[in-house]
Amino acid sequence: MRQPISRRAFFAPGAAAAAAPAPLPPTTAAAHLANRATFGCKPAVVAQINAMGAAAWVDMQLEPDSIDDTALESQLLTLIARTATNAADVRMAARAVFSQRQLAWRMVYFLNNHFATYRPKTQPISETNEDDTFRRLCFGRFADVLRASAQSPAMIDFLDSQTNVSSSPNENYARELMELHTLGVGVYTEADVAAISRVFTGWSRVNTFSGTTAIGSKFDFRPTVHTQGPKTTSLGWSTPGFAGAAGVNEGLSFLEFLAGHVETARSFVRKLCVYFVSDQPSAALVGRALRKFRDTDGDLKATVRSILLDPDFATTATARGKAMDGFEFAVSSVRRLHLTTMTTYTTLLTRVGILRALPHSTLEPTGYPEISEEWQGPGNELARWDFASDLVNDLVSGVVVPWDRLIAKNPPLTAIEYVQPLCDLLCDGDVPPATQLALEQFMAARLATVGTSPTWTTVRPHARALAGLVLRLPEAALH
Amino acid sequence: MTRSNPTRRSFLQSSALAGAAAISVPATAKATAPRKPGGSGPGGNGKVTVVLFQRGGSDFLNLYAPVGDPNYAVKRPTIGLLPPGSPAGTVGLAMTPIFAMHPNMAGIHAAFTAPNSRCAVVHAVGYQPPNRSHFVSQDLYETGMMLNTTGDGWINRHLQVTTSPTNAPVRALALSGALPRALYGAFPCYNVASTQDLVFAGSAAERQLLEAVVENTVTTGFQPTLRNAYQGGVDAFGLIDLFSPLSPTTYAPANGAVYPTSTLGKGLKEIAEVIKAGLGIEFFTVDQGGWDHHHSLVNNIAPLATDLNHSITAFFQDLGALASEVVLVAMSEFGREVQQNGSNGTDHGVGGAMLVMGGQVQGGAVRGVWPTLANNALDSGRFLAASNDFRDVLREVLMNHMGGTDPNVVFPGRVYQPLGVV
Repeated sequence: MRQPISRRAFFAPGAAAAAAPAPLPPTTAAAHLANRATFGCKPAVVAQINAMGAAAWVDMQLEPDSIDDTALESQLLTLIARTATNAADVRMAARAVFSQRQLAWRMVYFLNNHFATYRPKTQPISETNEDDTFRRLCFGRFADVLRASAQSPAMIDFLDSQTNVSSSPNENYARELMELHTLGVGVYTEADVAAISRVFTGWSRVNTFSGTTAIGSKFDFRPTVHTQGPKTTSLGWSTPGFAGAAGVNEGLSFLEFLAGHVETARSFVRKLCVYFVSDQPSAALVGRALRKFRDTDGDLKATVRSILLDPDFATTATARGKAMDGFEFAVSSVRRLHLTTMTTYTTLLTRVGILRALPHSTLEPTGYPEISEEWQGPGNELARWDFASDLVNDLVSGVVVPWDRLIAKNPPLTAIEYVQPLCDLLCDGDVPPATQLALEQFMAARLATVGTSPTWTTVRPHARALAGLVLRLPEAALH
Repeated sequence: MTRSNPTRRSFLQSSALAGAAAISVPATAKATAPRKPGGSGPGGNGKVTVVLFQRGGSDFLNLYAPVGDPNYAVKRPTIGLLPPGSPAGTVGLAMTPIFAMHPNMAGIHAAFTAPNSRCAVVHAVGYQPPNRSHFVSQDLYETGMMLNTTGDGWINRHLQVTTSPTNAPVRALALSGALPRALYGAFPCYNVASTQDLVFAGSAAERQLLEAVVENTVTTGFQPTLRNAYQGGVDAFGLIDLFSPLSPTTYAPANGAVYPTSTLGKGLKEIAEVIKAGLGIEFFTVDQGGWDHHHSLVNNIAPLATDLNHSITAFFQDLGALASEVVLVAMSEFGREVQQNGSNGTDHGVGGAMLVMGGQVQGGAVRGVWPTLANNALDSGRFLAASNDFRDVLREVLMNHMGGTDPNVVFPGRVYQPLGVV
């Protein structure tokens, strides 16, 4: 997972030779910020950024609790039971499309993938709860997020902590904690894995009840199966070992140590920059974000703010420079259609699964790759094209494209009046002129068949075909 | 990466179409298959290798279990296979005096024990120094270069130094959602999750426009990610055309073969159809996930062993006489700790195993050095030693089945120790 970040450097050695990146003009910069800080640019968000200024808008988004989101959150109360098998997926998709707290959910999406868990091996309610916990902590200290993950019943189930006992330790969590969640490979030794698996013996979960009905689980430390005595690592952390209930403090102490380790900061902050900025974020940008992270004791709000407002964030080198993953492409496409609500997400999520990006569903603890090329190539293109075409043809249940709002109340007479708004909405206007011309010719030929008094009934099939083309353009796959 | 390398785009741009400033609609460029740069070195012989990666670190001490090793039952009191002839429990199928195969793998076992067998196992496989991270070790197995997790893949380097005997437009195809590292590199390789995806969903006019856009837009000066997006579109149309003679949704396997509906079964079924179609593709990769059994090994490994068995058995049954042209190699990033853990599972280990089937494989034997499970023979006192190097198995496949390679390029630095598998 971390390794692939460097793949591009190896295979595109010429990339570095390109002209020095220049800052984006303000209009493009606003769309770029909207693309990375939300799940898909919308004109209303761009207008808001332009009106407030990027810094004020980011600061507003960094205080999610001060943003009114009651319309969506109250819908979620009845949309799906928290314990339903796919509740966490539905809630993630709904929030990605409709939440006003976009940046917070972008961060939760990242954290959920960084601390990946695999729902078939956990309890569904644990995933629902974990997402909500990440949402609560996402702009707090990294150390708190790390501890929440370590004590999350989803992680405890996924990486076998509940069966990690003193008589026979299970190394699964100890290894991935250091390799994937914090330090990165090469920093710790195999002996450290063995020692740390013993630090976490006894970290388990118990069911919680409402009356006599099990409604979920919570963290539970079991002193009787915790390995007694001192544990030592090569990392400069050790513990004399604590008896009884205090044994849990060994793990808590180690998590705090990991959260403050410079290698954790390096791997985590770089990955965050890859997520928000570029497969190859500038060293200067990463350096500034890293310094902020270190200076603020791992404050994620300050770190994300540093990244999004960095001079190297919105440049000709970063704009439309990242391929969306399958989930991002699906929800971004839906967001751009200006729906007011959706009552079902089942089909949408099925399609996200076909795009290989269903949340809470990576079998391997690496989560989904952050880098673009893993989401590109002919196979991914074809899957994306199928989704794009079906979406604009109302073949994804829950989505009925509101053409009269997307284009105009009454269907226009000229092709450009369709092509321009669709290119703007679906590709942020970033379509090469020759392509735009070809699209206009395509639409003009169809408009010629519907006469001079078109209605949405007669024009809709042609608008669908056109929108399907725009959403299948290479530019539409990137943000 | 591969998609920024010379393929059909560069071919088209060097042709008469290159000067077109605007997208021409309808497209005048009839889609052809992606073009490949010519290689150098030995030519291939038209044979096929299928690489099956068992992701997650398979417990080979449970698939090809050394039940005859006195330490086996001691270290695996509740999860180990029982020796053939045991009255009850998970009883292994006899392979050799030491080894027994998982009981759910009867089809592969039958191939192993058949007269003139073309099914071999190489045990205690790995590399030095071992690494027990899934992701590092998968990358090392796929680059074939020690201490290099970010380089190009061993299959890609082989393709760089050899030529296709049929000048095939595609020489390697991964049946997976992402390109595996074994195929990364300068030689263009492709992946699709399923050959069923290789159709364009839309009208002819839509296809014509989109094809013209991705092929004729001049992407010079575009940043690499956007160029890749265009190239992905070009490759998509190229693959659609190349695979148009196939019909994966209606393909009927031969000889009564019945594939499982699993990802692996579906992948091998689609590979069999492509092999029979004679497109000249020499390498296929396919994955089977879910082998990371830290917990409840016995119950968790059984369905995977069944899937592996049924998929591979159906594949060779379906291939029939073509099986002599095809070698399948199954591998994983490491084996697992000899001693079972407290969760009746096993933690990451070192020595694994490889299954090699088909072609002229010297089967019916467990090949390579067997280091034993004796305490003083174990790596770090805990793991089956990696006494045999996986690169030597792959080298024999390339040299003796595929018609030759440049081992110094494909497995740089490896001093070959013959295994006699192929």
